Amino acid sequence: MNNKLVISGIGIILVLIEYLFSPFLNINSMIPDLVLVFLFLISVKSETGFTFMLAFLLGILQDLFNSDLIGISAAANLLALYFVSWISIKELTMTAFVWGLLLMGVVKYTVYYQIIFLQSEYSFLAIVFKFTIAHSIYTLIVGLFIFSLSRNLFKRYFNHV
Amino acid sequence: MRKILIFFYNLKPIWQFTFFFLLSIVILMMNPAKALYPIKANGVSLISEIRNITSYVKTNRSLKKENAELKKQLIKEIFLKNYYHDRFQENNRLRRLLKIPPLNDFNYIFAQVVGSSPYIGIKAFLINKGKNDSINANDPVISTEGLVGKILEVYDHSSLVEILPDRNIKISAKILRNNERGILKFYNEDLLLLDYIPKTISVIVGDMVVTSEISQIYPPGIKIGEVVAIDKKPQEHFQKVYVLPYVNFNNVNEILILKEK
Repeated sequence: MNNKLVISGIGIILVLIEYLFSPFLNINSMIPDLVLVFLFLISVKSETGFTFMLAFLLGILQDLFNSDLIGISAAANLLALYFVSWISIKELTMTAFVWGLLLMGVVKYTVYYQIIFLQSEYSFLAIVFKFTIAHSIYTLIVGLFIFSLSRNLFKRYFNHV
Repeated sequence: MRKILIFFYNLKPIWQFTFFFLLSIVILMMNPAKALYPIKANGVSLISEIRNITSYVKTNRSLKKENAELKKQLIKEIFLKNYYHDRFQENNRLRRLLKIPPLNDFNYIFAQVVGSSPYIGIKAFLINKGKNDSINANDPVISTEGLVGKILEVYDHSSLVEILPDRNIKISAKILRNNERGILKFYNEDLLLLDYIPKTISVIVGDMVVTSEISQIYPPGIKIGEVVAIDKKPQEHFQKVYVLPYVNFNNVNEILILKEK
């Protein structure tokens, strides 16, 4: 239980960090999704029910701070997590990290931007090419940076759980 | 509580996912009902304060330079303000002599943009001024670059500003060079369409478009945008004039709300 509280606390801190530093990280109104990276990492070893609950709560928090539609990030996080749960990752290698996070990013931002631009003149593919892929790759690059810096920490966590 | 948690953990992952996903959708659908509006507004205000601090740190290096530039500009603006104030008074005196109603003067209410539209499909900003600051629906909103839009909805401490790239916006506008009036409306995310300008009227790329005198919401002469393209079809009586707004709607932080004196 304590472990879950610590993980939830880290998630909340990440939401705050994400927006605290957003003026520095903002490229074309896109900020790297640290929460998505975090959700992917904990989904590898944590219980599915707990990660779904965390994806929902952190998504709601992201929406509150981001001032977009409340519930949109929660729904997108959950769908992304659901899709990534289909891949059974036994060991967190760099390849698994890249493909897993990329899949999550693509699913999340496809859902997210399709809802945001629901009544705009942008076509599905235009949204995918203009926003989904760009945002997913940006998140992946930042995720890779974080992962390579703290790889040992994650390994210790995964061995411990 | 514990029993609920145990029951929840015993559910299959697909049901756990379905529960939270449906909950997200319900919350998403509740947005237009404004049920979560106070929570959302508070969240936005909080993060806006934190962002202000980080933005300050980021721009600190350029602040001194910007300050010096602004001081120079301020001196010029004060001179122009006094000059135009004299001309304004003179104009109104002459109008009275000619028995033409005097021009209106305005009060300006400063506001900050704190969020985007909570409604799907409506292009709008949430600002930090509302009923308590004497804001009313349909008040015109401008920025330093030009016309931003109008107040759509007013709450106690915040308001929703409908911006020019919204599908529902329609403005009586004119081409400044020849005073030719038309109706300005949505064309796409970037451009507006100035319609009902006869084909016989000369319109040139680069012409400035401003609000017209017959608008019941917007005062005349507010800059809107610049003509970037013209489309004249042989079978149509009117030409289509495409206007690029001066305001960059992705980067509006401070706005002014106009109130007639």
